[in-house]
Amino acid sequence: MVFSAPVLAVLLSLLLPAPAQDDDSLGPKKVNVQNASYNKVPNTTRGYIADAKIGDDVTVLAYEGSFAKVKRADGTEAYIARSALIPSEKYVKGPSNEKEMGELKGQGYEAGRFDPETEASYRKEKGPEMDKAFQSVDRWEVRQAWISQRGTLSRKMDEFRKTGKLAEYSSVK
Amino acid sequence: MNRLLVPLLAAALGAVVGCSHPKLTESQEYYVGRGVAANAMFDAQGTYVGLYDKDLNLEEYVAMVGLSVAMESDRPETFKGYHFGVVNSPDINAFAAPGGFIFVTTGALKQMENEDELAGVLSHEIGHVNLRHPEDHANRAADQAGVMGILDTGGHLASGVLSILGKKTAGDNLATLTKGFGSVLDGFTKELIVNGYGRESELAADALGVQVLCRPGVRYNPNSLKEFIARLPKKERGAWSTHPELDGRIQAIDDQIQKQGAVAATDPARTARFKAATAGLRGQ
Repeated sequence: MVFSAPVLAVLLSLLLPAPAQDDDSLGPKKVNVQNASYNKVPNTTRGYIADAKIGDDVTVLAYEGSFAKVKRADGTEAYIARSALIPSEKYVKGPSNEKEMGELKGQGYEAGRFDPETEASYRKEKGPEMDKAFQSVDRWEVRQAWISQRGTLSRKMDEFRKTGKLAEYSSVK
Repeated sequence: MNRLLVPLLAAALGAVVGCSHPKLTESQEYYVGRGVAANAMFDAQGTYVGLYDKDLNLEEYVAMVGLSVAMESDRPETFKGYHFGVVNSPDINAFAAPGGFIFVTTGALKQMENEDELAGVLSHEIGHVNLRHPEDHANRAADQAGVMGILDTGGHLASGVLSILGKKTAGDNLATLTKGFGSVLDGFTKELIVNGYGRESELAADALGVQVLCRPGVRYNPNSLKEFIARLPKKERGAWSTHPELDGRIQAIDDQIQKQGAVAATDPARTARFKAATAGLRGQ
């Protein structure tokens, strides 16, 4: 059987799975990143209200670009980055063991199999040089912990933009 | 076969194959990202070079430039946030690992003339993170290593379960997972640092990088990225030489800039603080 190109294209499109789309649904979501912030405006470093923590419950009221307008558990409204949210039903709490959760400091959420235990095993298998490299990564993450302190970061970035004549301080409007 | 049919079938097969395995979760990507970061601290000869942490002010400065772009991008948040590091390597390179771990080498910083060039390079890497190229790459590496098979069939062993199952069983399965983890890291790191993400992905990261540089919340000079790339002597292009053919790439960046309307110029205040931040690196 011979099909014309347009017919083939339609038939093939029916065979293909739908491409992954951003979740556009409103309603209950959970914060699924370690550190984020609630802001008065759709921006992560302006109009800081409070830190958002993994596991926070929110209700999405609307989307504005990369941001969601949400109602927080305390009833107040704020903006949070869309990439920080996951539908509540997809949110998986990892290890149920309290001790382990404590050790992971929250990283156990949805941690799956490439978790700290697998990493520790890999480090051991690869030897002292690789362990040294991971220790360097650990120190680096600790050094950059200031990035997660969103209130402080927000002020610091505003100063950085101001002195560098960036964004609202730029001559280009 | 019909000339149109061949690419259509290829696209169909590619899409089906691409959807045939589950994605790594965000936190798995984070741990893969940590692993890639650790592996990135070795040079091509396997010698440990590590992060350039003699000057923490430089590291913080690079992070501030990176955050100025990342926080205004389409993906301002990742599982544990963006991290920006300076790798102690003379190679001229920058790369993004899963989870938002972004690196620039001391060799690249020495070649830059101002903050806008640094922002341009970091914006390109942030473009990769926005477009989820590292995650796709990690998934491909996992697929090639057969790791998803392990995860799908016998690998349903969260750490908490391992502790209940006992040491021997836990150890047996952990060894398999460790092997899979190692295969992903080896494959990913080699491909990423040597070959980049491939022509189409590199061009897409350039385009998005330029757009983000020009956003009202950023306003860096988008010409900086092409100026940095164009200035590099061919023999010193390092990993950049594996990026798309340079003339075509610069033209594509130019085309993208033309679409942005009025763009900011490089500001002397930014150049001055770049010079101050990198003075130690340059031995000044």
